[in-house]
Amino acid sequence: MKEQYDVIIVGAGPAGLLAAKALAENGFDIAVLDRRKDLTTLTRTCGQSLLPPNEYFFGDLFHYNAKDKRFCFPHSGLSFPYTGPVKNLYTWRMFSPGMQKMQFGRGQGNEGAPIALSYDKEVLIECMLNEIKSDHVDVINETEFTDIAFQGPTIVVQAGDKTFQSKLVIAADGTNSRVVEKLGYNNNRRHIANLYVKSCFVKGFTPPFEESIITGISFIDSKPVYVFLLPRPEGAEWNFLILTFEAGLDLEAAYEKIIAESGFAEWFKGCEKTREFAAIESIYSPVVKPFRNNVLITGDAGSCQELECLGAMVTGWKAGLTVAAALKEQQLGIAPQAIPQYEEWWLNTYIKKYDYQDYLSIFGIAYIFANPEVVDYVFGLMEEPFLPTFNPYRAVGLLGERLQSLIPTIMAERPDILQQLAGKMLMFPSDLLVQTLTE
Amino acid sequence: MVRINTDECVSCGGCIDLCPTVAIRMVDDRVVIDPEKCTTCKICVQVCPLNAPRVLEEAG
Repeated sequence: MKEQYDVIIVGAGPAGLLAAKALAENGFDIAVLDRRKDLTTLTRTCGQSLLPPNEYFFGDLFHYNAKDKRFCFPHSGLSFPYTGPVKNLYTWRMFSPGMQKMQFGRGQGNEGAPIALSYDKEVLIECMLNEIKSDHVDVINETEFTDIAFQGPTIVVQAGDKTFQSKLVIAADGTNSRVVEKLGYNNNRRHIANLYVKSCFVKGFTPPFEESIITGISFIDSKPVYVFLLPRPEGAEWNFLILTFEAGLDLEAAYEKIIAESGFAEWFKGCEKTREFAAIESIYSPVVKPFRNNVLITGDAGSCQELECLGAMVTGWKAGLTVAAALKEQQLGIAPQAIPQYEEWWLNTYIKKYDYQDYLSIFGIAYIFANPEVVDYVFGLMEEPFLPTFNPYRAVGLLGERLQSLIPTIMAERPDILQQLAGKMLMFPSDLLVQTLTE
Repeated sequence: MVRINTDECVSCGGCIDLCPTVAIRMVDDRVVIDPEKCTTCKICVQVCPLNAPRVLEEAG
């Protein structure tokens, strides 16, 4: 461990590690700091156990090369070994509280192309750590970023009692980024909500269909709760997540209720928890300018949405390449292009293409429909399966189109619901969430 | 001050991220609150998905 590096990367998740890979391959000396001791064992978790193949996301198209066991991002020129287990998933079934179902994909087993690949994130991180092993990279664990200062062209990074210096810093410290907070960027962002997540791996969950993603909207004490059941790549395990925007909702009690009393209860009989996780995500509007004071933001650190592992990999790699190019421009004394290009790409993806309002509308569904009876009614109208997808942006687009085509039906059957939906669907999802949650 | 109930805590670190006085740290992959820095603002209590942080009443 040295004190001086070309670049310091804060956060040893997928974004930080792939940024390190890009920089090390360009010959720069890198330190990757992380507060955890054990970098491969998951403690914080959300839905990040699936990758969608065949879907463009953040400018790339994820592809799993099964022959050589590699994760590939052809548009970014990125590929690296992933030697862990995988499982293809073909259908996404989304249930209302009364078990009315919306289905993405035809549900005919493994006949079509998969909509998602289930993988093991712990093995993935291990593979990434192996991939970046070199004389150029120090992965420094048990080292938590605490502060940042600027001395002329040098950045001084404080991590507890350790001090490091570098020319550039990459903030890859994820959702609730402390680098972003310390630099004061959160002051210009709108805080919309906190997303509370409890999750666990379970054994013995036995739904009547295999190779399917299962999600649900539930209401606990009339507060919306989202349920995700994602097959693990191996064994008969599932990743069971409960998510809510509702502060003070007891997630442990919600867990018990969903297992014992929800429409899923039958499938949970004899089920057993094998591991437990949690997460809290402070949801802000995205950072608009990702580069200031020689600090480049990437991954979840500057976004509103959780980009999941896929977004983290694509954006982290891009950040590493950008900083490598920027350092070479400095050495050559030529006009900077790499950073302005990154800023433009950021605007086009983080702000425009993957609009955070669209993301919030995905999570806002329960707030738009507002009560279990309406969710049941609307889901009940959606009998015809949708196109196969697990891309939430695509799914919410398909749902919106379908709802529009159903307006005459809803008008005839339930004019009260139509009036309610019309009002809420005209609001910005961020406003709807802020208004409902502060009521 | 606030103490972490280690039976409930899974060390996701969310409270570390959101503690305004940086009183919470990860030590040996466990979440630890520094009693010197903790102001009992209870933000960690509010944000924890598992209700692991508990407020201890001041003695006397």
